[in-house]
Amino acid sequence: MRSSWGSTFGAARWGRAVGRTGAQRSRRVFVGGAVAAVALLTSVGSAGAVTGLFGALPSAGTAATGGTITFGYLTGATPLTVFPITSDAQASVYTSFEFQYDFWVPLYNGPDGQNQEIDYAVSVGKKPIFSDGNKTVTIPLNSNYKWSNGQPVDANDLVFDVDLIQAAVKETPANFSSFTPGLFPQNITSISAPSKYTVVIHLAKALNPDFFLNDELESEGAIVPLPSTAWNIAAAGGPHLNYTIPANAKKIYDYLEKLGSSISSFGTSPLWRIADGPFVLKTFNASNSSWTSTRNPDFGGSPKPAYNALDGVTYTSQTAMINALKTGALDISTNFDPSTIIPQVPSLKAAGYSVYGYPDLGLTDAIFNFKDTTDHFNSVIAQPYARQALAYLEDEPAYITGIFKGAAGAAYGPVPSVPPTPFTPADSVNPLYPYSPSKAVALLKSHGWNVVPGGQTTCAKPGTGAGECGPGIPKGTPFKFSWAYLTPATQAFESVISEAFASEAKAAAGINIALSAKAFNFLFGNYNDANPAGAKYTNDWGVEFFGGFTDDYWPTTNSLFNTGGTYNQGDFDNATMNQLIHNSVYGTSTSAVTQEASYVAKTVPALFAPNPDLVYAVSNKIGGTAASWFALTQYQTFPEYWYVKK
Amino acid sequence: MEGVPPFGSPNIPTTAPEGGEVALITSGWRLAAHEFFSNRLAVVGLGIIVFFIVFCFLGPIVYPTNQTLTQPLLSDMAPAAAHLLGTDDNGFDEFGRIMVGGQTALEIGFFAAFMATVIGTLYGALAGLVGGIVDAVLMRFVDILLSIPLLFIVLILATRYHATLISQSLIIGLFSWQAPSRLVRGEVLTLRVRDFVTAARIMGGTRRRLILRHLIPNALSVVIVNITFLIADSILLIAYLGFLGFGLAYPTASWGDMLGNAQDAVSSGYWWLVYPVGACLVLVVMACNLVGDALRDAFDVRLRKR
Amino acid sequence: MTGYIIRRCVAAVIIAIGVAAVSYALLNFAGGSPVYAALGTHANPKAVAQWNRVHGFDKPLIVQIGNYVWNAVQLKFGYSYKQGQSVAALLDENAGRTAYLSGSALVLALIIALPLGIAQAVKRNSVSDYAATAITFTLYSMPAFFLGLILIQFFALDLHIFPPLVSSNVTSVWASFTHPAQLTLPIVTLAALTVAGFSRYMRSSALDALAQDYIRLARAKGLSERVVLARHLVRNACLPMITLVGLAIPGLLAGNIITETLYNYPGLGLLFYNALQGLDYPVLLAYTLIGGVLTVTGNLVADIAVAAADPRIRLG
Repeated sequence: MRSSWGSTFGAARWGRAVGRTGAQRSRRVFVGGAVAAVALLTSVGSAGAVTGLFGALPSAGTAATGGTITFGYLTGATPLTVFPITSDAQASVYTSFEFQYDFWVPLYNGPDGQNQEIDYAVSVGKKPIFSDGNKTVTIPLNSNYKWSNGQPVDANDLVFDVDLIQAAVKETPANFSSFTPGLFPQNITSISAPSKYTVVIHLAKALNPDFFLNDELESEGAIVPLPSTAWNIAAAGGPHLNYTIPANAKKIYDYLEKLGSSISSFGTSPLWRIADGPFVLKTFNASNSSWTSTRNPDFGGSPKPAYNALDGVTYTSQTAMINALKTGALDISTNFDPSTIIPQVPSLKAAGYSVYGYPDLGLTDAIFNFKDTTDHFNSVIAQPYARQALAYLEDEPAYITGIFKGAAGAAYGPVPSVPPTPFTPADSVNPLYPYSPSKAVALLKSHGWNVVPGGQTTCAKPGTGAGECGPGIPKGTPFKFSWAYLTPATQAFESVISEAFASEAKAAAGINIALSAKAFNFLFGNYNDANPAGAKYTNDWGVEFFGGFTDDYWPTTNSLFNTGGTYNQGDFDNATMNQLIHNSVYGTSTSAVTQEASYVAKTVPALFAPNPDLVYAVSNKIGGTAASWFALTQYQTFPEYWYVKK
Repeated sequence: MEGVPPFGSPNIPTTAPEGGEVALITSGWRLAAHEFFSNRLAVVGLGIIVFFIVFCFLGPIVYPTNQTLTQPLLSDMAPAAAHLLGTDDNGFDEFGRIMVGGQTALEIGFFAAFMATVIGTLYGALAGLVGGIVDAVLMRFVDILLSIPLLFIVLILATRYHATLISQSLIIGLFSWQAPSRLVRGEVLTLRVRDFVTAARIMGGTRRRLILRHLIPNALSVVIVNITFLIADSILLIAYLGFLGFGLAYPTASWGDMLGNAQDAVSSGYWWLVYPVGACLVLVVMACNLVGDALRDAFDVRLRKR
Repeated sequence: MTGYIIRRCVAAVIIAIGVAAVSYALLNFAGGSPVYAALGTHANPKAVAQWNRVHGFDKPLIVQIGNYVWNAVQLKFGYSYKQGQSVAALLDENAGRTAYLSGSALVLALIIALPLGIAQAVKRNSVSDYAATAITFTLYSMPAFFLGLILIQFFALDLHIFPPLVSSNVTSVWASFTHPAQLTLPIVTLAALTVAGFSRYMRSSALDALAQDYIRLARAKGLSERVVLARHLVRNACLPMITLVGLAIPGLLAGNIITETLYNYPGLGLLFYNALQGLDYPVLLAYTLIGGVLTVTGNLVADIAVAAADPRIRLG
């Protein structure tokens, strides 16, 4: 989240594990450094001892010089844009970010191994300094990065990027996927480069420093220094323009955006060859989105890649990719859905692969629609006791064991129990509403419901008093609703969890759930009270479950659960929640987000489900640091840390 | 092969008799039955269909299993004494699931075929009887619908509508009546000029009576043949929808969805989730096709002989 | 004859236009305006209204249909906002590979089905006829993806004879042609879908031919059975196949959705599948239209060919 949109949540992890849809994001880069990560791995002795790790990380081995590493994509989740200012529509494919970061180094990037925080070793920026009541932010830059045309990556390149983002957002906010109204870049009154490697940003309104750093400056992909002396043109071969003039910035943005969204330009335009990342894009196949790249000799980061080429290869389905893996045709897979890949682990091991998985930082949730008036569901679900009763009916431990075969982490709130963050509240680890059908039934009975396990539970005592159902719920209202989940052709676990939950709810508490499968784009676009286009569907869905959202390192639910939030798909509306989110974004407390997450866990604005591992298969011929493998599980590639083994 | 169009191209011309010389012989149906039962594959096909109807609808009485309460902790277990064909990803007994899924598959097949046949028969009879410009317009509309592959239509509608037993049967039924309508119209066109129809008309029979008592019974043979193919095609179509991710949702399951959802199982070693249900589906679809094929031959004989 | 052809052509054009109109109406019903694909889900209502006005999505459905049909006639199929390319460019990019796959499958199916059907007819109701019928019906009754998965498992993963999928550097028709091993399983899968229908049709049309007078005459003249079969039976029995080939092409197009998805082969079928997942309506619409037009054309060509080839058919 992050970012995105402001904030935090930015992006949705829609579709999550398969990622086919997701916007996932990017997140951070690796930080900590390779040395620390390797030390961690060896001191633990075996990666298996890492909490929450499924399987074993690829072994380190010894790096050889040269060779090519191939990286798998799924059709439908291939990069849509090469230009690192990613629009709303393009952000729905998270691989756009991974792809861009192979060639352009973001201002801030992470994670640092398993730790969900910025790794300054893989960032252009150093830790920023906040002053003037958090309204002035000074960003020192590392001086070691260079463009492949020989120019250094300096303060002007960061100013250039921010200027273009401002021009983009002025046209329409949908041009910038990380946009949240009132926040970056609208909150910036000025940006300047007082010295070659220092940028100063003045904010109109003070933000929580943790929020601004982790969710705005680091937000996925939001901010990436761009070659200001080469890309400041508005036509091929056109004059170099002064981009600090808004009219010029708009022209430049329009040109680059159009070029960057044209798949056929990816492999041909000389502009995209000017990069500061570990690799430079060489060819891009417009028919299947496969691509090749070569090592960037000018890469200023460390380590320099020891192999020659990184290639992206596209497969039409997880099954197709698994078949390719079994014939040894691919080095590093895409992230798999646990239920798809785990039965294949023995044969993949036999074919020479390591298989490991780890949850990404994010939330997996079934979203309640607080506006669905069918059977008075809006009134029913508005009652906290009703949501809590549903939470009691969810058997997370059984789902993790049975559905995910262990490749998932428990999550009872917006911050999962794994991976670790500095802000994880206790009630995300120890559930407030652990699986207990009897408590669910008792809760409903105590609020005036006639509970008929296996049948249809109805409201017996309407009214607003204690022991009564609540306002807007007439006598005889059935506790029933429709529930749409992501089609299993995209990803399987949503359907299986939905089925398990619906079955339990009916058998234990007489709550009837009508299930249906839908494509991700349909769910996300239409079953969405925050989208004007969703209005005509608002009574078609009581709950939707398409996966969830990724979190930024400061895991606020801003834009998810605040009133009017960009991703508040079910229109949850709660004054206390709004205030707590406001504190996370605009306050000064370093524990604001923990308090917020704790309140979310208590009020259950959505039904939180286990956080699935992103499971990868990596050829035993390929080595890399442990941190680079953990980064993959956060949708982040650090190809400079990979190598072909001797 | 008429009548057995390659999947997705509904309009291979069914060679159904666009006519044929007619002379009434009362033993026509008996001739057809004789011809049918002399086709050994058809008899085997009929046996397979009967077996699966019994297996799916009576099987759960003999072999009762839990098919409503999911049990994640029992998921994906290999076959054992307690679960003859193991369990699926919801922890349902796969053997029992095949019975339940077979009920749905057969129900959708029959229901869709029934709907398509009713609509197609009425539509075709109307066009054939009224004739003229109405007929031309009606039949061009059929041509148009026939030119859009059914799979496309169903997939497009599936993006919006919830897939349930009823809705899938309805959609399939509502968009597969064109072939029967053509067949019936063809029959009507040839029948209406025949002696017995003329005779009935002269004797003062109303148009409604004509349709009900004379034309439809005579068109019945082509319709019956078509029903068997429709059932087979509907069951297959559900499988494709399942494979493409738009199959039925829990608690309903059909063979097609089970097969479509278990595609990974081919290579994962969870063989019990894919081969048994695949075999059932193929057997029943094949049986329907065999029976339909033999029926057509049999009715051909009837037509030839009379 | 000329009059007949003209009448059939006019009807075909009307049907093709009808296909475009019905497809558009269907998709409009399911999806509505592509504005949110173009502008993102969070576009503001004003921008949405403006965009709809500029692109004609605020007009009555009947006008929209008219516009769409008129554009389609000019081969303008709109723009895929999901993929940032015009639909025409996408079709152009993918059509060749699909044509190659479908064409090869069609040829293979004919090569198998023609002799098989004739042999079955000649040895009607023998054990081998029954066996061939059982096998072709099994193939016909098997969902293509199920057959494909089994073929992949057996021939690719167990026996390592063929690769399990088409590698991503096979991106041109020429590359498809020069990598026969990679295309073998996809072509076989698609052909298997078609063989049963073809051979069954061939069998019954050969049976018909066998009963005709000219065959009896040929035999009566004392010609050897081989000559009878080769000269007379095959030629006459193949006539109805013209119809079938024309009509099978659209069916192959539907089969492509499954086959291309299964084998990682970028073509129109895969394009459709992805468009379906992404609700990319302009692409869905164009593919449906292509399927429809090919069907209409197939019908037309088949009718005319049969009429031209068979003097017994009276044109009316």
